[in-house]
Amino acid sequence: MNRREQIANQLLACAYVERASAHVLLGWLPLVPNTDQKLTLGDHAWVTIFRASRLERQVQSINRIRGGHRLAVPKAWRTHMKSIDASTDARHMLRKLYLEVRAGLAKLYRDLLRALDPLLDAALVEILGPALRDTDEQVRWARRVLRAPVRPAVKWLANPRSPYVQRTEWLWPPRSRVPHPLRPPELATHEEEGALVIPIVKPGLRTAAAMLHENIDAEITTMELFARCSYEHPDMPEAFHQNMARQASDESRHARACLDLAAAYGMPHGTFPTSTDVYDFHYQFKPCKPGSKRELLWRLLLRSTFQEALSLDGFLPLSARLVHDKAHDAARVLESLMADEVFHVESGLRWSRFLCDGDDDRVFRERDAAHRYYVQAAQRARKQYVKANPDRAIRETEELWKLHQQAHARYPFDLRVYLARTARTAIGFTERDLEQIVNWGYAND
Amino acid sequence: VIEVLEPALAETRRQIAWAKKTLERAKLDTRRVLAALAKTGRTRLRRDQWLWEPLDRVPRCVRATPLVRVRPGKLAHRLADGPGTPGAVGEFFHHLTGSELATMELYARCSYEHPSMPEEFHQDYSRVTWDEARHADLALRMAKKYGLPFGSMTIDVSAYETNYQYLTCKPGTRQELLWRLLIQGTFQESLIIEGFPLQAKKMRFAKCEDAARVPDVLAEEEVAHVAIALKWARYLCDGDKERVMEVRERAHLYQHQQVMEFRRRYVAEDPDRAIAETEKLQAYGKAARKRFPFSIKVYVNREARRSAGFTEPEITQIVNWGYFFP
Repeated sequence: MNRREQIANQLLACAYVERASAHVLLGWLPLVPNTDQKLTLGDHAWVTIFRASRLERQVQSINRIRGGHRLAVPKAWRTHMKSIDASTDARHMLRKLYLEVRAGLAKLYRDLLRALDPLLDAALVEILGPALRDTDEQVRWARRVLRAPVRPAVKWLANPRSPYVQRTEWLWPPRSRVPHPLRPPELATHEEEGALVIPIVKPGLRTAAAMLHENIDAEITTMELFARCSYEHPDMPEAFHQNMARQASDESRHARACLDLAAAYGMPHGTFPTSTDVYDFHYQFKPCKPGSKRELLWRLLLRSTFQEALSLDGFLPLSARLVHDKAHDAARVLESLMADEVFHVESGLRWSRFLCDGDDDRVFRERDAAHRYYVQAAQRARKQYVKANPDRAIRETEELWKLHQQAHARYPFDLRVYLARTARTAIGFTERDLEQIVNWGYAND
Repeated sequence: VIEVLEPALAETRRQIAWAKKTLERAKLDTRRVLAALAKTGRTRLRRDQWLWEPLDRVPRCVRATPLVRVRPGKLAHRLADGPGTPGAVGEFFHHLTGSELATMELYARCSYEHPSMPEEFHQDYSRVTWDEARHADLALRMAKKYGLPFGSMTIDVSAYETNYQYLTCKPGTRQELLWRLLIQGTFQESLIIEGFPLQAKKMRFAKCEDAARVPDVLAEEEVAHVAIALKWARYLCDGDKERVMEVRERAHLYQHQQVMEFRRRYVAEDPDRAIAETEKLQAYGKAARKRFPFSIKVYVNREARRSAGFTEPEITQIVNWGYFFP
């Protein structure tokens, strides 16, 4: 084996560790109770999967002259990473993943970089330099969070005698189902299904704070949901995992932006009861077999191509309200969120079509069925809540109506939601898809 | 946004520092450009109008005055040092410096002269240009290390000047671009895939390990360049692989005839020197076969060529031209 092949094999080890780390992180996101750690891990998931793909490409690029690389890796590596995934709690997982595996990876990056020629190996240096910087930073973060001392990196990658697994077998099937994400025990949560989860606040500057507060939950739960979509379907194409990880990282950033600003507006997260409804509802559906591709399809259809797409329609009036209330910071946050939302909806649409073998009619029919299920489930839950708590339910409805009237009185412009036709068409929705949304009554055309 | 802007700022700062150093004590003057960028006139250009048509044709590439070009038709190799010696390694890298520079310039012009090509084409060829610049830099370094700093011998610019234009193609046309990509991209550069690993082997035999790493890496990177040239050649032929082969056949024949014509003229003008050159080359070949304890025959690397995207008939086409053994 010549020197270049050796380098390629070391890069393959790095690519494997990065990819398997991303898999562990994406699976664990809902199981990490601490919000700050959860959001950081959402960001790391994207950084690691992105780097894995660059390293993998580089391995192939080096080996093209020899007809390409099989990308097979020792089975022992997978066994090791899988055992980390099977950790009993988040703290144990973090310690194993960061202080052993990723610290070892940083050492490997450092050794590789030391042996490279900056000019001859410029293409490698271009990848490994930032890789080392990011990994070092991640390990420092983990040491801080775990209050762990510096330890020598474990050389677990040296195991060439083990049988090999092919690229398609790098990852492992999900070790569990997670129908409910963990939250810090001190955070108050909505317990009653069917109750109104939106905080009712009089229109004005406090509305902006309430919107941000509500959005924190939506962003975190969406991050967790899409992370699980990747983790629970390791057989999907790599581009799917990259899209899901990128979205998880975006949602993590969005949640942080909302957390910071809500706190600055005097309404830190936890001021109102928090909710995990977005995750809980979209995780599983009675008509879909748990863990099936149809379940994945419904998650994408409902959360991405329906709900996230609706936020595009609602952007203009909401932004106008925030500006009118002089909540300019919140308007900026919203604008930034919407820019990413376009990509998220596009990704949802793309992968829904993939799951329906490119059959647009099937996508349309499945969205219709999923939406019907969604409406019926919401109505059923509300009915049960009203039945059990008639006084509270009536009060909620009255408050909502009052709020509606106050909003119309306060804002001197049209508050109706219109279909964001240009954005939706650019994303790839067909005319029939647009009609579907209008017919359901969520937006005017 | 920060993810994009931070590296952009760092890179631009590096570039400005380089320019200040190169231009010696030049001062920054950003006022005019910032004022121009701040203007928001009524006339807006669409994305496809951002760039402009080429301002000129550049059939000859500029070189610093002391550098002397190889006379057309003359064999470029000096062959002063025997095969498998550090001097021969130096000569290899001297020649390579010239061809990498010329290739870099040719591909840069391919992008510049065809702003209407898809953006991906420009990105591909900017990347190739960067690679060729690095290759030239590496070759410069090695040529100097092995006793032949660039300019010690005549320099070769043929990769640029024989591929810039063709009598059979209208200047500036897509056909001309296609011929450039086919000849330089999918044919001449593809020969490196087979040729350079053997050069590396010879260098290792001569105990020049540091030098041997260069042709190894270059051969790897050329596979990607060939794949890119093949991709865009097919694009220019509307995906018709048969047409790509037909045009490559015509372009290769044209180039072969050009080379032969130059050589014929050179032989006619200076027959004694031409005969001496041929004899020297033959003797060198014989000495090389004796010197190296391994075969110096070049065989086609089908796996690498397939990986670059060549079809079997395309591989056979190049094998049949006789540049290497099947």
